[in-house]
Parts: sequence; structure tokens; C-alpha cells
Amino acid sequence: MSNIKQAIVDPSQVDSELIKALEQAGIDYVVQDEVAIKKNYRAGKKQLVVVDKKGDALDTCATISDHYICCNVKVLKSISNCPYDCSYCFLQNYLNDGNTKVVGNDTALIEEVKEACFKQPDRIFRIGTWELGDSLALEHETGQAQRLITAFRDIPNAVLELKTKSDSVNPILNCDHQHKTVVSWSLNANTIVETQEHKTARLQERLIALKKVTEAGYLVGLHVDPMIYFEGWEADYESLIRQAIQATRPDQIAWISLGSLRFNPEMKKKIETNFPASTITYTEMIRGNDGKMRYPKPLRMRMYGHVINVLADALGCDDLSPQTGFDKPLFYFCMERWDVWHDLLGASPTSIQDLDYLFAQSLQSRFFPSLPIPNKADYAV
Amino acid sequence: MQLKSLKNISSPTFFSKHRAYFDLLGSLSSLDRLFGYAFYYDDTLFCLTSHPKHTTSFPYLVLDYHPDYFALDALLFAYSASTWPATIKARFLAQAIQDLPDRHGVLQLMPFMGLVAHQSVLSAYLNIAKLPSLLLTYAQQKKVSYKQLVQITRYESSYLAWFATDILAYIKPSCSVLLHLLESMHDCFHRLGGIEALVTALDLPTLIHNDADSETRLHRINDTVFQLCYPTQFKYNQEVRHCVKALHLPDSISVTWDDSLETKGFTVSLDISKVDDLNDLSLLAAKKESFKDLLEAMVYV
Ligand code: SF4
Repeated sequence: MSNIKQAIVDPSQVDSELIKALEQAGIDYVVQDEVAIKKNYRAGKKQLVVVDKKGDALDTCATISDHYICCNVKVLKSISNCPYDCSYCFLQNYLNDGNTKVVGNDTALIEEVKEACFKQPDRIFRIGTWELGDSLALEHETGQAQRLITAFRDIPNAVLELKTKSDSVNPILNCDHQHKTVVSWSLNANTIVETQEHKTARLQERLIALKKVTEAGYLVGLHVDPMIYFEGWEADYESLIRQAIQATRPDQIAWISLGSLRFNPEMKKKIETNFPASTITYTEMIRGNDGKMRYPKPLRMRMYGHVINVLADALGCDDLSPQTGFDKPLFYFCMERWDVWHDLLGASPTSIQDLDYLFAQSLQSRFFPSLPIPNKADYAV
Repeated sequence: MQLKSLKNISSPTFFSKHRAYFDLLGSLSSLDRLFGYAFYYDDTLFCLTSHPKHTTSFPYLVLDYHPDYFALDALLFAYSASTWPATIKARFLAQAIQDLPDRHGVLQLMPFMGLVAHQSVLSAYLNIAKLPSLLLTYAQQKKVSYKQLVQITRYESSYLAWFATDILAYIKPSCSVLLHLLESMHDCFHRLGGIEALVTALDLPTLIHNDADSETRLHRINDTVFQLCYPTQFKYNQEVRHCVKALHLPDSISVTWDDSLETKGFTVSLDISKVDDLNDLSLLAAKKESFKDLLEAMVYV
């Protein structure tokens, strides 16, 4: 359970399914028209605001720089802010309103998804609900993921990704998901979970939850991101990878991503002010072509190389490159340079669209053989 | 602020409770005014601004003031406090917090400085006032902004005290170099685990040795801090430099690369101004293998 103690509900949402979930969770709520903006992102973490869907909720999670390859996943903005308190969380420097908002009107969300997916029926869409928060942290209070899982089951060419640092999986275990939902975890070395990922489920709790959803037949995703440098990182990340692979089944892992700590320069000051005990900002960093601070490339490559070796060993698969076949989980780097891909995996996607296409090929051939074989043109490759 | 009257004063008297404020305003009190400012307290006329020397009588505008603030509101008005640098505002507010009976009174003075009367803004200024005085004075000279000063206050006071006495006292950096040094050294201070380790890693006595002028010291400090703060960049750039040197290229050919190491590869430039220079093209082709080695040095696996 999260720390949410009360909720404010927009009058337009009083009849939504979400209200039933709130009542079941025993959360008191008031119906109120206007909710004052919370300037401090932390101030809004204990109270839920149930809002109507306003404007487009479906967007693309894309980097602004073409020097770094992004995976072109779509994001459904169904939540904003998060009850957890990770030191590196970009929300502390991003949100104009710190209220934890959840869209009550999930029928409207799903209609928008359906419209986009039906317009391009030959394309496989990956759609995540984690852009501005955690997909499952508030599941006990909102039940939103359960309703989305059921809805995605009936959209042939879309896969829902629920990415979390929680262990709130019990409510979704009995959903009729038909493998159309990938439950994924943002995982990190135990030292980082303990010192930087405040209020999230501990690593062992996440791994137990990973095992539960695997047993419930879900496809799963593993995101080792952001990798953070610290004394002893090698052993800690190795142990993480081995435990994560052991907690699930390689043939249910849809994808595995790897990324390293990155943030815009303003965030450094925010982190040091908001998390004075954190030391993550003191490691050597450079400013990348996208304006973000990140470890210098030789260090990133050393860290990635280590994890890739351990992953290859744990999965029993020598070659993790997504370009050499789809008989393995799709491995990719989140926001990395072409040459990092090339030097560590032997090849790199030719474009963001190409990576999107690789995802589609992997999903179709491994999990959805009844869907048509993806066609490059549908992905603008 | 209400103006009450205009008086000619021949010998100005100052209010004793304003002494500390005049001390910190020293550099700001301009004498080339056409008139001064004064106020009445217990039937005595006190001046807020000084009187030009060798002038026997000078016109003073008499200001009204709030009885609870020792005429500090009038003082702020007389000195156009909204134009002051953030360092002076901070010092003024820190003094006022000592002199006035409560924080509320100080908050009331803030609008005279062009500031929002908000507790968090006051706290930010009071934190700025706590910065080491040498650093504050230098920041004022270099026109360090309020926002930049707020960022400086996030560093530990022990680190700032050390920086002021053991580093800043020996150099004269520009505003941007000052901020960069503060940040980089602070990163190293944490990475190495404290001042002692930082001093050792910097070999500080050598850096600030007296035989050098402040510019040379600044140069040395910058180089050493870069090496310490960016060891990976330093190491790999050195390697690339060695590879380039080993190419034994003539002066007409230069090799440049991204020293942040992000962009893989390099650029070879060739100056051609006469026909003979074109021979360098074959030299480039002949060095293909060495250039390959250079590219290899940019693969970090
Ligand atoms: S779980 Fe994600 S959204 Fe929540 S605080 Fe951590 S980084 Fe931010």
C-alpha cells in the first residue's frame, strides 16, 4: 500500500470505476471542483487527485537528440507524480503541479488508444503508463491497471507496459491478460535501492512480485536503469541480474533494457538540495549532445559491458544483439549512442524507427504469431 | 514612503543604531547627490545620507518612517535598496534580524529591497549572509547573482570556509570560473571523503606557493582540479593526444576530436594554400593504419 491517505475527486469523475476502488481501499475523498497547484513535488505525494482526461493522453517517449537512440515507445499519460521518492527522479525538476493526479476516466483513455491503434492496424504499438509516475504504485487505491489490462486484451495490435518499482501485483494476478500486458520492473543494485530509491519496494520484494507475475503468465520486462556508479558496483549489479533472471523465465521476458544515470544540469542542484545524503551527483559526468549530464562514455561502456556479460551468462545466450535473431529477450539500451550499441553488441539499429521495428518483429515472432509479420514501411524505417 | 519636508542642514548627525548598516553600505553611499535624506527621531533630525565635504549647508528631504523599524525603511528608501546587489541585501537583512524584535519586522522591510516578503525568501537571504565574508565580498565584486548565491549556500559550511581561506584568498577568478571551481571542488570533496583528502589530492601547498602570481596559481588550480574532477576524460584525452603525436604530422595537418569523448571519431584538417601542400594528401593516405589505431583508441571496451 502507498502512503495515500485521502483523495480529491473532480465532480466529473464521481461515477468512475476508480471511485469504487478508492472506496474499497478505504480512502476518504472529497468532491471538489478546483484543486490548488502544489508547487513542491513532494507536497503532493500523500494525496490523490482524481481528474478528467484533458486533451491527448497518448504521446511518444522520445529523445530530442538524434545522437541517442530511443525505443519509440508510446506513453499513455494516465498518472502524474508518484508516491515514491527516488533521489534521481526527474519529476522533481519537471512537474509544474506536484499533485498526484490520476485520470479517473479510463474509458476515454482507452478510446484514444483504440483510435490510434485501429488507424494503423498492421503496426504493433507498445504503450506504457509510466512516463510521469509508477504504473502500479497506486494500484490498490485506483485499480486503474486492472481496467487497462482488460482493455488491452481486446486491442490486437497493442501491448501495454506497466513499469514499476512496487510489489503491488496482487490486484492484477487474476486479470485475464492474454499476454497482452508486459509487467516490467525498474531494477537496480541493492545498494542503490537501499540508498536512493526511497519508499519503493525493496529489491527482494520486487523480485518476489516478479516471480508472482511470471507465474500468472504475464510477459515481463526488466529495466536495469539507471545504472549508478558506486564502490563495489560490479558485484552488486551481477547479483541483481542473476537474481532477476532466476525470479522469472527467459521465455516470458519480452525485453531487457540498460541505461545509466542521466539528468539535466539543473537536476544536479535539485538532487543535492532535496537529497543531501545522496552522493550520486559527485561522480565524474560530462554533458552529452542532448544537454544531459551522464557518465563519460568509457565508464558507461565499462558498466554496460559488465552487465551484458552477466546477462549473457545468466540467459545462456552469447549474443544479446536484437539484430541477430528473435529467439531471446529483446535487449536494448535506453537513450544511448549508436557507437555504444555498435561497440558493445556489434551492431546498432539504423534509426529510432528501426528499433521500434525490431521490437515489433521480436514480439510478433515470440509471442503473437497470429499477427501479421511486421512490415518495415509501417514503422517508417 | 512619505516625504515630510525639506530642510537645510549644516552639520549632519547620524543615528547610532544605523552605524552597522552604514558600515556595510560604505561602498554604495554615493556623494554626488543634489540632496540628502533625513528623518526625525525624538525631535532630533538624523541624516540617512552623508553630506558632501566642504559644503556648509545641504538640502535634506525629511522622510516619514515606521516607528517599529528604527527608520530602517527610510534608510532603504534613501539608498534605493532595490538596486543593491544580493550580497548587500543579504547582509542588511542579517543585521536587521539581530536588531529588530522579530522576523515579522524584517519581512516588512523586504519590499523596500524589491523582494517578496516571504519567509522562504528571507531564509534564503539569511543563508547567503552566512557565507564566509571573504567569499561574500568577492561575490559582490564579481556580481554573482542571487540565484547563483543560493546555489552556493547548498555547499557545507566547512567546505566553504576552507575554500574561502585556502583557495579564494590566493586567486582572482572571474564569476564563471569561481562558480565552476566551487562546484568541481565540492564534487571532489565528497568523492574523496573530506577536506584533508582533497588537500592531499590537490597537493595544495604546491598549487598556492607564494612564488607565483594569482593568475599562475589560478591556472595551476584549474588544471589540477580538472584532472582530479574528470579523471576519465583526462586519461582518455591524454591517450588520444599521444596517438595523435605518434602520427608525426606536419603543422599543416591538424587532428581534432570531441574532448568530452561522447562523439566517436576525429576530424583531420589540412591547410592547402600552395600546390606543394597537396603532397600532404598522400601523407594522409600513407598513415591510414595509424589513423585506424587512433580510431581504435576511441573504442572504450
Ligand atoms: S518510482 Fe519512478 S516516478 Fe516514482 S519517484 Fe521513483 S523515479 Fe520517480
